[in-house]
This record gives sequence, structure tokens and C-alpha cells, in this order.
Amino acid sequence: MYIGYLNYVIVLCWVTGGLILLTDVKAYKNASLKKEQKVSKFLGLVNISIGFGLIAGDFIFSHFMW
Amino acid sequence: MGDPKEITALQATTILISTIIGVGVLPLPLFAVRAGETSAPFVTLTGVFLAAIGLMILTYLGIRHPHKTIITYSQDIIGKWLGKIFSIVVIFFFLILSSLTAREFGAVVVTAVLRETPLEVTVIVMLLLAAISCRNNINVFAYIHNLYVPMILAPVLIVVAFSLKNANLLYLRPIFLGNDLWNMAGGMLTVSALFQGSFIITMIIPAMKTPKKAMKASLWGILISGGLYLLIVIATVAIFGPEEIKQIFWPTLELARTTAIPGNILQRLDIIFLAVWVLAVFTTLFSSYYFTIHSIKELFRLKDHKVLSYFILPFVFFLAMAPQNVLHMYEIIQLIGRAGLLITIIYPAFLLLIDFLRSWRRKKNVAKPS
Repeated sequence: MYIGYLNYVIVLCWVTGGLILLTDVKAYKNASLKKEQKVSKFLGLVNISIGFGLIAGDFIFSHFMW
Repeated sequence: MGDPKEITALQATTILISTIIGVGVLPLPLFAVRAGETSAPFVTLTGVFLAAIGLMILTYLGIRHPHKTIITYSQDIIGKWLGKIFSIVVIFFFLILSSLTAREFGAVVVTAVLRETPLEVTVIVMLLLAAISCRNNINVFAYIHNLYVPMILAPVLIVVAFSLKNANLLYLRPIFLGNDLWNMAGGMLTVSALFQGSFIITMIIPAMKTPKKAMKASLWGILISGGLYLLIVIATVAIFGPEEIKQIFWPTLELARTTAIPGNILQRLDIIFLAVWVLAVFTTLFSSYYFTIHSIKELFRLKDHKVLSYFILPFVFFLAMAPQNVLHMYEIIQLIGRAGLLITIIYPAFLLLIDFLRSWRRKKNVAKPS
């Protein structure tokens, strides 16, 4: 199976994850919003992990299953 | 970081108008003509009427709970867990609606204007614009809508007015054809689905200065946007006729293309119309995107929604790219739109009914001891 826009999804996951970790986590820390700071850290890491997961999934699928 | 209560009734009206008028403007005459042929204006009118009923129910429910949105008061009315489950369905529906709006925008831009640009790029640009704009509070949200409404309404009205000189009123007769009522009912649902953005009122009411004025705002909002949609359908059918419209994918764009400003000032208005249409799509996408992240924030009881604006972006993009082509995309849009009426009309009606029953029982219990 080939999804032509997968590269765009991976880049978007990394960029949005990075932006959350770089901007929102700090902003919530400065505003003393602890719950929001934790959530933003988690969501940023989730997006970055999804990006890496998609690369790994695509590699496995195209090299071993297709 | 909570929402200030500063939105006026006028701002609420402009939010509704610019949210409702969006991508649906381009294929609207095609949807209406497929369903009703010369009765297309009648199909549009019934669709607007159905959408207005849904909006009135939702607004009335919002006025009964002026400090809460549907995400929070649904938990009060039908219970915490059932309310949360339905809220997740509402959020997922608006996530899909945002993605389809972005995809439809991309499809039109790639077909009509930027033919060499990859579809993915146009969709990402629009989604990024929405995501960045959504990082502001609800007041800025209202100001943005307020700013764009005149720019959206005026050119569309100009196109319709100048195009009417070529109108042939015979194309509009008979006004009620009535040969296939099931098909007409389906068309009515499709037209009504184009008004689903009006669901945003549930998020606006808690931020209004005087929530009681929300009904007035809703009435004006649906009257102006519905009136504009009706005008577009009448003008398009009167100029091209039903049979010609069936051959055109975006009849409103063709209408702008065939319209000229007298005196050879401008011989075709499609580029001006497309520029305005981009604004209309942006405001629609902005509203559905904002509603999605605002609702997720309320569901998880967070104090701020900023972080969610970037988080959902890849998911919205993924969903936007799922349709295989334009035909597949419109099949999905019609299917999701009609199914969505269960969420935007039936669900609020169900909530209102339960809310009435609960308050009636409460009054009865209070009256008993005395």
C-alpha cells in the first residue's frame, strides 16, 4: 500500500510536536499552569513519537510485507 | 486564560454568517438542482428552514444554560458518562468537518487557480492558518469574523446582482416540480448540512455579554446566510438552467466567470469571487477548528486550548487527504453531512426534551411538599 502524503504527515507530526515542546510547555510553565504543562509535554512527545512510528511502520511494511 | 464575556449580539451574528458561508457556496446549486431540477430554490428554502429549526433548538438550549457549552451541559442533562460519549462524537464530527473543508478548499484551488501546486501544500497552508489563528482567545475569534463578513457578503451580492441581467425566468418554472419527493428530501438534507457550522453558537453563548440576545443573533445569522444561499441558487438556475448546471461541478464559480461589470470595467468576476471565497473558507475552517479544540479543552477540563491547536493538525491533515479524488470527496461530504444532522439537529433536540422533562419533574417535586 502506498500513501503519497505520508511524508507530509510525518513532517507535520515532527513540526507540531516540536512547536508544542518549544513554545507551549514554556508558556504554561511561566503561567504556573501545571496540568496544562504536563499535558502539553505529553502531547508534544506523542506527535513526535507518531512521526517516528510512521517511519518505522512504513519501512517494515515496504521492506518485509509488500 | 479563561474566555472573557465580551461578545455582543452583532458579533455573534457575524460569526454565524461567516461560519455558515464557506466551501458549500460553490457546489450548492448543483446539489439543489440534482435534487429538485427547477425546484432547486424550493429545495434550498426547505433546507434553510430545517437548518434554522436545528439552530433555534441549540440556541434555546444554550440560553437555558448560559454559562456552559453543549460539551458541559450535556453532562448535566444526560449524565456524566453518556454526556462525555456524545461529546466525543460531536468533537470527532467537527474534526472530520474541518478536514473536509480544508480538502474541498485544496481541490478548488488546485483545479481553478494553482494548477502546478501539490494538493497537500494548499491543504497544509490553510490548516496552518487556522491552527495559528486558533491560538487566540474567543474575542480575537469574534473580531476576525467581524472584519471579514462585509468582504464576504458584498462581492457575492455584486456577482448575483450583475448576473441577473442575463436571467431567464422560465428556467425557474415550475417552482415545485415534485416528481421525485425522496430525491428532493435528500437534497434538502444536503443543503441543510451546509449550515452545520452554525453549531458554533453553543460555544459563543457562554462568551456573550447578554446570552439572552443569542436567539436574535441566530435568527439574523440564518436569515442573512440562508437568504444569500437562496439568491445564489436562484441566480445560477435562472442563468444556466437545470440541465446545464448538472454538467458543471462548481456552478457558482461559472456564474462569477460569466458575469461582467457593465462598461467593460471587469469582463469576468471569477478571480475576485475566488479571492473572497478563500476568506469565506478560512472563516468556516477557523470556526470548526476552533470549536474542535475548544470542545476538547472543555471535555478534559483544561484551562487553555493553545496546545491542542498544533496537536490536532496532523490528524486533520491525514483525514483531509483520505478521499481518493474530487468525486469521492463529494460523496463523503454528502454522506457525512447528512449523517451529521443527527448530531447537529437530533442530538440537541433530544437534550432539550430531556432538559424539559427534568425541569418539569423538579418543579413537581418542589410543589409536592407545599
